[in-house]
Amino acid sequence: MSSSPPKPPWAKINFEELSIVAVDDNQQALDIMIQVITGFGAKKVSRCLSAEEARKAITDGQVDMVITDAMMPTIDGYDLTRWIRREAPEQNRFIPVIVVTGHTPRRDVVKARDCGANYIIAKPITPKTIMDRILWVAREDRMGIDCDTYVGPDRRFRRLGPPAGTAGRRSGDLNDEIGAAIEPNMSQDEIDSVMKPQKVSV
Amino acid sequence: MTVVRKFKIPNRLRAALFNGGGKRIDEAVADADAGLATLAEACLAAVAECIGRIEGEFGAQVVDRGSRDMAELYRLSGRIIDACAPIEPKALAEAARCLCDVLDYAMEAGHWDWAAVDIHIDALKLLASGIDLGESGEQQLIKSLVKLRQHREALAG
Repeated sequence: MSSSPPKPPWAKINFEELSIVAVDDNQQALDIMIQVITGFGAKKVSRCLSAEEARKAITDGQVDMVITDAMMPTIDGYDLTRWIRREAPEQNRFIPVIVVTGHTPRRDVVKARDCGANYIIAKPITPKTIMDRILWVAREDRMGIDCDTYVGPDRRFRRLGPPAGTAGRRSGDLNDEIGAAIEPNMSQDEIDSVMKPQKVSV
Repeated sequence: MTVVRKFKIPNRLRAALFNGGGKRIDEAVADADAGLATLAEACLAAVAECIGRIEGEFGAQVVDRGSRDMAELYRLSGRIIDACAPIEPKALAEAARCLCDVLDYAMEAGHWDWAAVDIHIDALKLLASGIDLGESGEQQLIKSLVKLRQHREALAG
């Protein structure tokens, strides 16, 4: 796997033509997410209060990225991601999917990775964290994998964290000690290390 | 035999993001921060409402709290975390996350520790009260919540 060099803060980005689907069953959380994305300059944002609405938006046209809450009634963000990877129209099947969640026990981070999400972000979200992950996804060239048990970006990992040369990892907003319990929340850095693909020897 | 297909994913996001035009990355983040700040008042109100509901439905004074839907308590804690995006102190979200940990563990183990829940409710109320604990005070509070959870989990084996 390779990735393009990191962009400096003064590099220009253009969200105007991106079609983004934002999903959260909590109206206020959705407002927050959309405020961040539109602040970046996005103009084509589909607001979805459920995974069902998101499925419709993804089925109806070309989408460039999905940002979804993990915990939603009926169909959660993991199942939505699984649906995208297996049943969405071909043009949208391998779009970047970023999962956001308030509670991040390890089992949920692993669940996000195994459903085919590109990254998982711990709430409360910050514009910098969202921007970092979007840039990471934009820079990386992960291979796609399609087999009986998994469809999504290559999920073989090594604990290296975000792409080399990336500065500004989120720190200080998650307590280090939270990682010490039996089934802990994972810090954003830990989450990123699990969500980072690696090469393996065969 | 399982067949694994490996293929290159076209990076449409990269092509769209870096097509020229738009704004600087740091300006985009600053604009998003400024936009987020406009939601602060509503988020503060949401946090206050959630804490009020938690106390009203699951506080120590509620006689039948054991019969309430604990998933609702978990959901309200999650809403506090959501709403903390544009507001201070950040420790508020950490305290709510600690409460989620306690609830998660309790729901899995089937063992409720109301004293631990009460302590977390008190911590949330203190952090949301506007009293300035200072960063070290807030972190000390969170460390104590984490230690409490670890202690309870150790006791439960």
